[in-house]
Amino acid sequence: MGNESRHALNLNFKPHVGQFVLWVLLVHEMVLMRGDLPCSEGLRNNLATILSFLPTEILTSQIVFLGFRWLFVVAGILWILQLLLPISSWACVIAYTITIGMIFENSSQISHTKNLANIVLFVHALWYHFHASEIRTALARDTFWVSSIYPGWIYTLSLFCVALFHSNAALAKVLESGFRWPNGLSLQLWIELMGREGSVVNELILSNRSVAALMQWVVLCVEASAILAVFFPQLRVAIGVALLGLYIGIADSFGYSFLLNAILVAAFFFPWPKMIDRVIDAAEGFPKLTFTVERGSRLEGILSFVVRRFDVLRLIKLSSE
Amino acid sequence: MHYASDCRTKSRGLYSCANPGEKTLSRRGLLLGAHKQSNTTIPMNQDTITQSTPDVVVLPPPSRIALVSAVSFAVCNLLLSIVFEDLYPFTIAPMFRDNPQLYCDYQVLDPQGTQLSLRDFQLQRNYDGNPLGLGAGVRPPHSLDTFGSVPDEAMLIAHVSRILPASFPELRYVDVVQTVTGPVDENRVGIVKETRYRVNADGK
Repeated sequence: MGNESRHALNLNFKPHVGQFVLWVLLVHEMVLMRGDLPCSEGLRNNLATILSFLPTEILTSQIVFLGFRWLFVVAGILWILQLLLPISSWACVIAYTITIGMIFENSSQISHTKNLANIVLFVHALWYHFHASEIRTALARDTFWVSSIYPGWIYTLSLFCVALFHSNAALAKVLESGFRWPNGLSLQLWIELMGREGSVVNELILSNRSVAALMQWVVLCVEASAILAVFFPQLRVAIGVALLGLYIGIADSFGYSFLLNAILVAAFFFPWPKMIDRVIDAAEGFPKLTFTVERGSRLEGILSFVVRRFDVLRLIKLSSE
Repeated sequence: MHYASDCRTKSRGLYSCANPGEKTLSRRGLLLGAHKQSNTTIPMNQDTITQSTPDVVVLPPPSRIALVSAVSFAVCNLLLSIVFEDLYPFTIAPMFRDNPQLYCDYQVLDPQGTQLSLRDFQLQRNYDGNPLGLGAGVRPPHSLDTFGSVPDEAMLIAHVSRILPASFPELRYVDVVQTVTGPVDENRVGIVKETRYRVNADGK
């Protein structure tokens, strides 16, 4: 590892990126996760998830599923409120992994819309595990949002996982089909079969195989290049834009939504930490919204609790009388 | 480690710094050296302002165990996704990794021309872009249909005639329509072949 990479790992950031990622992933999954196990019938696969070693009775139990689903919700709320750290963060990640794992274990068809979210949640649980005391102290001092408390190694590990996920997709195509994969015909067949009606791009792809082949080459190159973003920061934004374009293209052509994956690309491929520093600097000059509350009252305690955790730009000032 | 060591103090096992080499306190570039929560009076441009100095928390350098955890997880993610391809949450993201050149659609009709369930004849399409069964705990229901390939006439008739008397003993025959979609010219795809087979219950 070079000096530059070491420096990147030791460079810490303000917590905004990490917290936004947590909030979006947790709220999205708490609200939209399915409430019951699928009940696909058929022979069981030997190895589908990291839970596959568990007995079938457990993997197919609705009660176990509901138990972990609700544990995820409760622990997720505690994590968002930064309470019971780091127990709440680990309980949340473990419950989420088990919940989604059980859905996969009971399905005959899956989509890869949760894998990356799960991995990034795990990485952020590492953040809360190794720096729980600093986070608690920053909250107590009301300096959470101005402290550089988001470790560079967590940011870099998250970026690596997001990049690896996309480069793996390119690797899978080359390993399975070789460099004949981008021949245009396969994309035309997929669109003919599963394409979204009304897409202008689909009409173009279906009418010209060379355009289809070009699109496939672009997909392959963009996916393969994702891992370069880890080692070449100067390429990161360009690759991020290309990956987001890919997700928009998939949504337009097939109607498939990989919203969480796209959000994670947007979070880790763009220079938000620098921009956030500027925004925080600018926000210092903004007029503060002042709330005057009775000293020692319950309202003061509640407002103080909320403001410390959610006033990301420190625009609210509490004064006691 | 290059922290702003000139203003770095350690208290209660935590590194604390009023301004660890960054411009968090003032957008006008002031560097405040206070270590504790305090009110600091700063002369500036002939004005005097009173500013509260936040006692920001500075992370210590990553511990050895933190770095080992991070590297181990990265290696696990890399190896498990490649070796097992799909072992939730690790995945090689295999969607659309195949390279189909054509595909089939089926219809099964009873003697009155009513469409019967493809699933009952194990002719349904299980394919959704992902490799069949990979990463799923339950194997998809058996089907003769494999996306990207066309079974020949003998195979198709043998398959249907095996199921017909067992699942639909009241039917003397069914008609199976096999539609093959593939390249129709250098630019377009479409239906390249449509064949209708009559399959009798006695297999003849």
